[in-house]
Amino acid sequence: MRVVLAEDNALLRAGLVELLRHEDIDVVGEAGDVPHLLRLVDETRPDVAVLDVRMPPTHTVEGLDAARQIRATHGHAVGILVLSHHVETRYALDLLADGAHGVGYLLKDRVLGPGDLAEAIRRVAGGGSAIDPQVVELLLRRHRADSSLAALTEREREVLTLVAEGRSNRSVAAAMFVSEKTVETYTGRIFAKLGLTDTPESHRRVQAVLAWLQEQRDPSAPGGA
Amino acid sequence: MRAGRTWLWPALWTVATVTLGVFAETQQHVEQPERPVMLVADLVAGLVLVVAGLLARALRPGNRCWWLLMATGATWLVGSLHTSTDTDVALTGFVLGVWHFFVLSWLLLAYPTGRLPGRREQALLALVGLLCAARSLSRLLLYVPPDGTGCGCVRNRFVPVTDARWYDAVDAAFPWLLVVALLLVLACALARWRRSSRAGRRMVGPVLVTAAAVVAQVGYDYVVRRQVGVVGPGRTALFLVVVSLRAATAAAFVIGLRRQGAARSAVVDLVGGLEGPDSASPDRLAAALRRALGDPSLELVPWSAAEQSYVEPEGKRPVVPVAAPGRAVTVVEQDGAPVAALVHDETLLEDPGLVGAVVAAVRLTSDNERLRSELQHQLTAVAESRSRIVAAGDEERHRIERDLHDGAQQRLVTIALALRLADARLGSDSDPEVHDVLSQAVKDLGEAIDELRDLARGIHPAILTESGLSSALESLVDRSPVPADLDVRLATEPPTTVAATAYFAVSEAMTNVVKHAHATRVRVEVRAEGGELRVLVEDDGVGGAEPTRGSGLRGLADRVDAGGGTLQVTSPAAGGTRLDVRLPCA
Repeated sequence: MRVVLAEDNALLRAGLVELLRHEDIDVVGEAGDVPHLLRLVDETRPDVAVLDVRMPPTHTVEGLDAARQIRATHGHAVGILVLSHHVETRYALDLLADGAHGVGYLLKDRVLGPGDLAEAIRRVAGGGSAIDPQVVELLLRRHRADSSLAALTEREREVLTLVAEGRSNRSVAAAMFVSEKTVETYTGRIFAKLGLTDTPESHRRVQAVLAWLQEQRDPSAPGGA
Repeated sequence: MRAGRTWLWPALWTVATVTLGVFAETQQHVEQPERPVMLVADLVAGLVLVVAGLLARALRPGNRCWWLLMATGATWLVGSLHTSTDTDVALTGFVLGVWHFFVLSWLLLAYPTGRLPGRREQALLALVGLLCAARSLSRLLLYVPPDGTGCGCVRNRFVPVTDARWYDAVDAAFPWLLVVALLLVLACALARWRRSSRAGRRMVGPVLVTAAAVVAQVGYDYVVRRQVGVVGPGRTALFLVVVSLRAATAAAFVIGLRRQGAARSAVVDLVGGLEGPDSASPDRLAAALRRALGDPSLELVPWSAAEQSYVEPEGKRPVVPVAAPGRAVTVVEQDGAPVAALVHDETLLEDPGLVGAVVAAVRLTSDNERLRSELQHQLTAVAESRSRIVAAGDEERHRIERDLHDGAQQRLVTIALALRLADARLGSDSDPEVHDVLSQAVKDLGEAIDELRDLARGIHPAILTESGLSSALESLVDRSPVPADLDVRLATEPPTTVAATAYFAVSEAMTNVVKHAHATRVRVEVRAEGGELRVLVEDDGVGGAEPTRGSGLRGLADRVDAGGGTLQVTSPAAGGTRLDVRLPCA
């Protein structure tokens, strides 16, 4: 697994490199700003580019712009994982606007949880997606009052959250301590209740779920089932 | 005629008039039995007018009415020479006596200021003067005395004509014309009375009444009795009426002048004319001054502190006001600095009280205007300063938010990561207690980072500056524990400060909904319409919110106010709460 890392804070960058090495992820390039990152991506063709959303010069949303440029240049060949300080659905949805294939939006402090970052990188590298649980939680909060979401059992909602994070059935099964078969049964029921077509590819499922969540944002739209 | 400050002229004039009067009355025929009474009465009438003049001068030294009153008395006594036994003396009275009406008209027209107020009065006085001149000249040049000289008859030594018809024609027309002219003078005085303030009417009233009586008497005596030939009361009785009327007129003038100073009346009119909006504009002030002082040529030249010069009221070009013949310059000063200059008829200076009052009125007006403009200026400055304070506050919050993210939060993540790595390096054979301590430290740091993130977000949401008002509101509503509908309709992103105010308005309202309203639903509406940003937050809660209580809403109201907007809270008991904010958004 080859990764290019962009983070302007040198100490944190060094820490991240060491963290990833422990997870058997090879950091082939380190950048402190966007132009350097783009050059490294062009040169090394990594599996995933891991980048901070805030970078010089303005320290606002340079990372999102850089992600768009990488996607434009390299298509789905290079996965993109954006690390952010903000729990903002807007940023995540902007990032996923062109599809959930090989994209991730993760809170920066996720690096503290054992294995979280590495798992997200692997998922993105595999063409899947990784959306921070806090962001997913916010997206689902919007639909508290929707009847179709209310029709889900607590267990089903738990599964939906994990699916929306971009996890595969196997990953969901591991997280919930159930068999993959059970997870498949859950997702089938959830997708039927939400009126969605199920698909085995996890990034397409995430896409469908996110599309549903976004579609429901307009308060005047019908509330589903 | 300038009024001197001394009593020399009045004294000389009094002596001359008294001498003339005594001389006139001792020159008379005294054959008829009632004659002595009439002579004394005649002298008294003249002298009463002179005394009235002296009193007027004592009351209003700057007012020219005093010498007009004395001149009325003098011309009255000149007329008495008419019946002198000496032919030349009698001719003098016969020719000049008629000017009594001219001076009397002048007095009426010029009262109470002592100046003729306008062109109409000047023209009317000229007309009376013309009549009197015609009468004088006709008596001097055209009069043919009847045969046989007797009492009251004048032998004219200059007489160049022998045909009496010319004189008779003038003699027949004059009384009618004189009465018409006097009626016009009376009408002028009446018009002036109607225009006057209450104070002015109190001054003009008595004079008007006695003047009307005098005109009626003249009309009766000259037209009804002599021309029409109606025989009424006897000559003596009529004469006593004439004399009493002169005395009453004199008294009326003195009473009027005593009641109110002419200056005060003019200033009352002036101050009255200065009410209303825009009264301090040089044009309006000048117009009011012209009206009040009866000087249509008056000019007001404002002083410009910026130019350090007097400037034209219109073109604002620097000018130097100069005194010309008949024109005087009066400078109005405030605390030693010039405010304006008045260029006016120099006769105004005869009444220092009046000039002082006018200067005070101009100073007050300009002071008022200056204070008003200063206040306006300060209010503008305060409003601008408030906007700047709000903008500076926003900028500061934004800076703190960035510092928290890029500084403290970043560092906490780095430290936590270092601890994790340290734990990993120790490996599985490390002391499990050390591992637990490190894990707990990492977990605590994670919570600290979460708290810091919420704190920074509350101070200033980064998304507001990074993605705009719509995204920021979406994010705010997403986090609301009470389900909320959001409807944002913006064609363009509003200016930073307006967007921040709108955001904080919704934020404050949502906080209150969660804390107090017990609502099940909130509706947030933000739209740009007609140059303003409208923010509406409505809930279906218990209502009864007090907008004046709670620092949050008050702070928000201040903020909205600083931006020139309005904030309205409607919260009937059990009727939900509605916050309506309108922000100007040019």
